[in-house]
Amino acid sequence: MGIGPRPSPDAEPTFRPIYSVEELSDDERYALRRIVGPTPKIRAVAYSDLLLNGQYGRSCLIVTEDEIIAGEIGAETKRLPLDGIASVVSRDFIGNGLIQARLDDDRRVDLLRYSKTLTDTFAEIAGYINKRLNVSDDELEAQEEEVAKVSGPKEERTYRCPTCGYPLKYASDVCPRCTSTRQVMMRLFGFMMLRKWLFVAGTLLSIVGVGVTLAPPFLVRFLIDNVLSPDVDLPGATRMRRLFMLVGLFLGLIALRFVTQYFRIKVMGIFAAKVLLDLRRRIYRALQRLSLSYYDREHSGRIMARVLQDAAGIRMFLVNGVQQMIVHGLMVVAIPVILISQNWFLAMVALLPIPLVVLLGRFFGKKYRALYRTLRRRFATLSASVSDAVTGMRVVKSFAQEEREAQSFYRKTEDLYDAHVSTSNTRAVFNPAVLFMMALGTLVVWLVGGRQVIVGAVTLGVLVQFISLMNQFYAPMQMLLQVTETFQQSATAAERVFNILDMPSEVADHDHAADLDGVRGRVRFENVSFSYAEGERVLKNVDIRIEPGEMIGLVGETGSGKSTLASLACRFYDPTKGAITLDGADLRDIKLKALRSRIGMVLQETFLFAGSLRENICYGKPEATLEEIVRAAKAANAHDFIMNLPDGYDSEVGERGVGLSGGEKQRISIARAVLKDPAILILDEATSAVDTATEQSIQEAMDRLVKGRTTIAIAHRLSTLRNADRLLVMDKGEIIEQGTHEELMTQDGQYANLVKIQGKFASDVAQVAERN
Amino acid sequence: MPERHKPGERPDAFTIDAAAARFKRDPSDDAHVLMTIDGATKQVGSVTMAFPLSDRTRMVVVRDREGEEIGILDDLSNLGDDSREIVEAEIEKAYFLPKIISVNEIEQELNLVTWSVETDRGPRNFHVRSIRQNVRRIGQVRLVIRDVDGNRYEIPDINTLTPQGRRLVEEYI
Repeated sequence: MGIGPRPSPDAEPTFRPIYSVEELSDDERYALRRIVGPTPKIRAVAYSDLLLNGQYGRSCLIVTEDEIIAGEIGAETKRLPLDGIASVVSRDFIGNGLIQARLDDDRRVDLLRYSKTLTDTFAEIAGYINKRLNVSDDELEAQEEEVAKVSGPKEERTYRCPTCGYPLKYASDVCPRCTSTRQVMMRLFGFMMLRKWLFVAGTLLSIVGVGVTLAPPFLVRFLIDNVLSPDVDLPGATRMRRLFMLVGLFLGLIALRFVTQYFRIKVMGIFAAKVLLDLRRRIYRALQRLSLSYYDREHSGRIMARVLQDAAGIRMFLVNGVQQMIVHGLMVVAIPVILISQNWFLAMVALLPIPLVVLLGRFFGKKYRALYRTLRRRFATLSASVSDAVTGMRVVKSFAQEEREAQSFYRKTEDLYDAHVSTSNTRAVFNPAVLFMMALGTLVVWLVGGRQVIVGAVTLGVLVQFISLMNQFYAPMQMLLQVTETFQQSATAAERVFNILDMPSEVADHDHAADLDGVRGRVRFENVSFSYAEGERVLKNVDIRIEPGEMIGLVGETGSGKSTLASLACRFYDPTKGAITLDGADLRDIKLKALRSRIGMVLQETFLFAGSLRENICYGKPEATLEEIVRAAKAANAHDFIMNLPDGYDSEVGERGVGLSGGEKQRISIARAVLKDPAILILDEATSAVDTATEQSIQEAMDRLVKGRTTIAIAHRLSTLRNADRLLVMDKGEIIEQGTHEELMTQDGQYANLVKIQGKFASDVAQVAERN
Repeated sequence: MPERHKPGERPDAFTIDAAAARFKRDPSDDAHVLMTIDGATKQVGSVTMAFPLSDRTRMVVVRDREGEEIGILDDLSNLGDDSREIVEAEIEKAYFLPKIISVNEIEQELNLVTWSVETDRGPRNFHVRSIRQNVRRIGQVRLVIRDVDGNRYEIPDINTLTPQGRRLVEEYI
């Protein structure tokens, strides 16, 4: 013990691997040297928060020139020479993980345990070590598979801020700890400057407005001291004239205040709306630019929140935040300056309660935030429970559990009630307390200032001016106290938005991408491997050659990689390894737009956009003539049911339109594909989830559609693939069998097995039907 | 506008060439329209527009009395005058869509919005529930409204309404 700094038990773990010793503090370096010795070069270090015996404690993994050293800091360490190690592997278990070395003789040595918090770090350092050991990709894959077999269930991954390790709820979330409010605000300011004249005009109006607001107390002073006071030694007529003049001036000021306020609110409103418009359009564009892998990672609700809520949060800040900052900031600076310049002694007395009010505001502000958080959370719980009860009513009733549900709801309403009560209790103290302090301050000024008036040190006018300026001072100060919080909130909203704007698209046209002319439809998968993000490969060395006009049927279990293969053909993703070519050209060298205009898709889930059926059918070819549309619909066996809708092809579909059945939607999407007339066609489980009659009708349409096109069809029901020229059987990302139906049947492999199962099922159903 | 081919020019026989079709009404039976094409005469059961809102004259489906499709008329404007009159009368029945000329009053009471309008077919009051679902905007200026009973009304161009009428309508869409 006693080596280097002993971290306190609750010290935050190091989340990132430290590859360079220079990043370490002197103390840490000293500690490492004690372990490693003076000479060997340290190449990488990663700290763990767990010891091999399962106790929490600080251990580390050090990679030097020729050794791996692992163990508890300040205690025994394991030293393994690098040239005796075949590879290292990090294995995830529940609640913790283990990094293990595989020696050349295939023995395993446990190096270090780590908590789940550090999973990424140790996966990374394992990768680093394997790279140094020159472990081949194939070996790594074999190892990965071996690990996958013995690993526990995968746990939901916690995302962490890449900079500081703060846990984030979603991958795209912005770290609230790292968000530099200032930096984000500067960038937001950049957006504001796109509309700078509006901003300048609004600011000028604000300044004028503050001036106008602060002027009346001066007039009051003049009115009292030089007109109304019995000491004024002037003829009555002159005093009357002055009175009229001053009241006229007052009127002018009030009018001016009205005008400036009107224009300020108007101009700032337009300004904020314009900035928001710019921002929303940019976000929408960015969303379209992003590749599908982003949409796989992100929850669609989260993405929508970006476009709608975060942008609206920024608007709030622009409309209220910026305006209030300017107006109130000016007031809070200007009023004390005026007070002090008038009479510094009285000013000091007047400003005396301010620190108290600030402290009070801070104290209650914290309390308030906590209370409101509770309130929000309890409300969310309550609404979730209502939504559950409503959607699950059938289940509740069928199990006769109404009473229990009601009880649980009662409990939640009571919790919410408690939160409401304590919030209003706090409010009951705070607001009156602030008012009380302020009134107290005013009283003190009356007392001290009044005495000064009596002794003749100040005039009555000055005192009244003081009082009225003070009354104008408190409100803006209160507002400013809250403004930092608003700033922080809108800064995170803005940061999230900027995050999307900055995100690169993984699938994008490179500079020399070419257009396509005359597609023949020869598609090749050349040794293609693919994995979504880091992790298990979904496709492994897939080699397929599809001739122009050929129809390929993909068969296999769920998760065998069929849909991924189809997605790759559309270039929704790029292969991790290998290449896909169309007529000999790598897909990556073809303009995305050109490529996708030659590919038609009919998917299991047909998405219809809000709009008419006509618009939906010609979605891929907006210039289609009415005749073409009807012809496509006829080819898709959709015409008849369309004509039975009240508005025919002009019927509205989508959220507020007519409801179409799955089979009907399917046929609309076939019509879409027919109209687009693509060279390559992808059918993904197109006939699942429809009844037999509908399936027949769809199948008929489909047969017409595939004629003369290169087709990749995916199906669970093997009968759908009866027209396929060739069948590929996939299993765990690999193609294990291929050939025609007859060939595969004679092979008597997995395909034959599948056919038997489905055939048996079908004949069972037929038997049951007969018996009834 | 989608291109129209001239009468006589037939790219293929997908639709019925309206120029070659004749419609006749059976004098003894209002519901009995006869269509003659290529010398053959058939009883017409119904005439339905495929695009009632976007193009009333093209792609008109003609069905027999069994509801089976006889064919699709490519373009009514190619019909002879008499035939066209008959077909349009049938269509007008099949899809009744009065045009709102002016709006006198729109009032909301709870969830029901009551419209009081002048149409090209005369004055009319109707109720609309859920404006969002039942008022459909087509293009920038056209509106098709469906009332609680399923009647339809059209405002061909909201700009042609009086300013007050337009304001009333825009308040609700």
